[in-house]
Amino acid sequence: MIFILAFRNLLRNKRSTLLLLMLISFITMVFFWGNSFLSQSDRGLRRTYADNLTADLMIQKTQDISMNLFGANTPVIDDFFVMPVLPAYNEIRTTLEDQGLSQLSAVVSGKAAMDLAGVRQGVPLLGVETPSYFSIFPGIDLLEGELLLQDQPGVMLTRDMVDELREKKGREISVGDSVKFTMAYGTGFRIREVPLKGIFQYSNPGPYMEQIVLVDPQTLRSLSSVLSVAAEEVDIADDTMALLDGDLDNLFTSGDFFGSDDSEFSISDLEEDLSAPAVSSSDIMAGDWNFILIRTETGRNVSRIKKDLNRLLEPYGVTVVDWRTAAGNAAMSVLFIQFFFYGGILLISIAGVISIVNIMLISVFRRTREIGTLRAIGASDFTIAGLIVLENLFLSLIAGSVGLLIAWWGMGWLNNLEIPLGNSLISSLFGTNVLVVELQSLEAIKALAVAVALGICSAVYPGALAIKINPIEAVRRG
Amino acid sequence: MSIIKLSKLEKIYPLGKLEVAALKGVDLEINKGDFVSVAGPSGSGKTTMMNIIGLIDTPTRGEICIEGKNAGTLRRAELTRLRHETIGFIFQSFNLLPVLSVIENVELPLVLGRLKMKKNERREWVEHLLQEVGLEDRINHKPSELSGGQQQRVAIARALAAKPQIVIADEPTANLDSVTGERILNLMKQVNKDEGTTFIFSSHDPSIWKIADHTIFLRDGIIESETRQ
Repeated sequence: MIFILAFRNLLRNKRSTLLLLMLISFITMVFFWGNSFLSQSDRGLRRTYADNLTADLMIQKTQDISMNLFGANTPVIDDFFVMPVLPAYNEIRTTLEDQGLSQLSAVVSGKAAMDLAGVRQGVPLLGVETPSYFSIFPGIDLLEGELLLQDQPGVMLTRDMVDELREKKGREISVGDSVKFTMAYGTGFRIREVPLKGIFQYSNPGPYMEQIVLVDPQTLRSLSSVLSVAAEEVDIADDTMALLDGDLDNLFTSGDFFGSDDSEFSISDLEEDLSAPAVSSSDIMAGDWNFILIRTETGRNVSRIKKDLNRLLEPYGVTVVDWRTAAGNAAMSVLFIQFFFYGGILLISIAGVISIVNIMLISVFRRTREIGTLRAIGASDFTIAGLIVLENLFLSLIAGSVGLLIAWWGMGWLNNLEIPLGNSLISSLFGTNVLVVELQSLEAIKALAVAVALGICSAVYPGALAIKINPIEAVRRG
Repeated sequence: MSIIKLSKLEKIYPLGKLEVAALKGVDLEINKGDFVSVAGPSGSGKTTMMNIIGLIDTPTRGEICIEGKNAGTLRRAELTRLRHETIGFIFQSFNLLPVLSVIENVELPLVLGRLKMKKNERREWVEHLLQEVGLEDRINHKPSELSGGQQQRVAIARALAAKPQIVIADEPTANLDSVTGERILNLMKQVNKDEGTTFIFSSHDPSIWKIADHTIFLRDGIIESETRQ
């Protein structure tokens, strides 16, 4: 009966009901649209960054400054920024494997000037652990050449970068060409030259991702002065140690500085020594790394894993961050947009609640006599408040559904237009080249929940006033 | 045995800086099953007294006891319960809910209260009441589709729905023509005889006082006289 009363009260007050209906529908519509766009962009960014660059989680050395995969998020003014090296790498790796996290890959990161085809440009470098890197990033499609191998120096460039260089200089660039990298350190430079091993493309590239250069880790370490090998105990032969006992004061003046005639020195031996790799492949893998990237199994709670790992790895002085932090400002921008959107929705909702409360108050005042009558014939406080809440609940459910239907239809219509997304920033935001927003039931439920919450919140004050109406009002306003 | 007892009942209304005393120390006892008429000219305090007896208004001073319970000591929820279980109210201007049909209006006190009744029993009881007031052919009509007399009969049926001990009717015939008014009073008298329900109705029309067993004359907020037949 109370349900009937609430429903018919809405039908009777057509004008205010219509007004409330429009208001709640509008808020639901805006919320659903906005949330769908943001959710889509969140998924798009995830496809762009987590599938191509950052994986699901990244381990970095705990730092005072905010970091991403390519360095500090904000420019470091006071000190020359050095990419921090992961401490206790082997222990961390063992801990991760003990946790059942097997899809891991370590990277070294840096920036260098790259010379290729007569063009010099600054590029972000990722020294990647192979072959694990390519197994956790299936979004990397090899177009020419081969993937980097564990024990070989080499570099991989994106198709877009190669095309751009070809266009700039009109020169052909092929797998096998030499690529030169220069990196400043202290007062000098380090230069390394490595062969172009492969050309690749990201399945869903984000802005500036075509600039990323994948390189073997040892080349990048030697460029950026990162420790190349693990600290191990070294056995020095006694005859070598005996050299230290010589007369150091006369080291450069003694007659046998270039060795005695019977020494075994030869130019061919020297050339052979210099051409041999400075470190063995096992040493390369044991060197310093800046980050460890973790791909979690589908369906696992990434936030929970992150929390657990942070607790476990805290003693090693490292921090686990999610893909968004690892991707840096580009991915964080969506969080800001989300923040502003929810702020806007909050403001609209507050304005909506105030309007609904006002309309409901007018409705309650108009019905003072009826409410007084209900009280006089035995309605409790709970019944009176329930009646007002029910009215708003019905209204918000109907209005929310109407708003959702309009929003759903509008979104379908927009999707059918297949609007092309012009630039890579917007493309990466949506994860596609054409504007298609996925219609998700979860977002619809959220929007409906917001409408209902709005309706119920708006009923609180009018309901509280309604229960203060005394039964005598039934007579006074008769 | 008294079902209603008023002791030194006073009601003062503030009127700007002035205070207007509507009731000035009323002492009264009404017995169970009485058919009581509260008489007096306009402004004598009839409506005020009816509202206080009906527990929809509170006295400024004095005591009101319903079935031995002092209403002044009851909490809001207890008062609501006592009002619902003991008292039925018939308003001068009917006070039917416009969005509900005749049958729904009559059923409403049963839905609001704690009277244990199954849905079909409830329906049967309400239909019986509407038959008693002669509106069995109007059960699905809205109040706006009924005449004043018909609406007042619906109001009577509603007041009786929760089987109250006491029915208060404030000028139940004021908005009705004399013939309809007489029919309404006869209906109330019939229920009083059949069910033993205590009826208290107010009127300033001397021609209808004679129907009551017990008439109370109010003037300027005090009981001027009482007559019992």
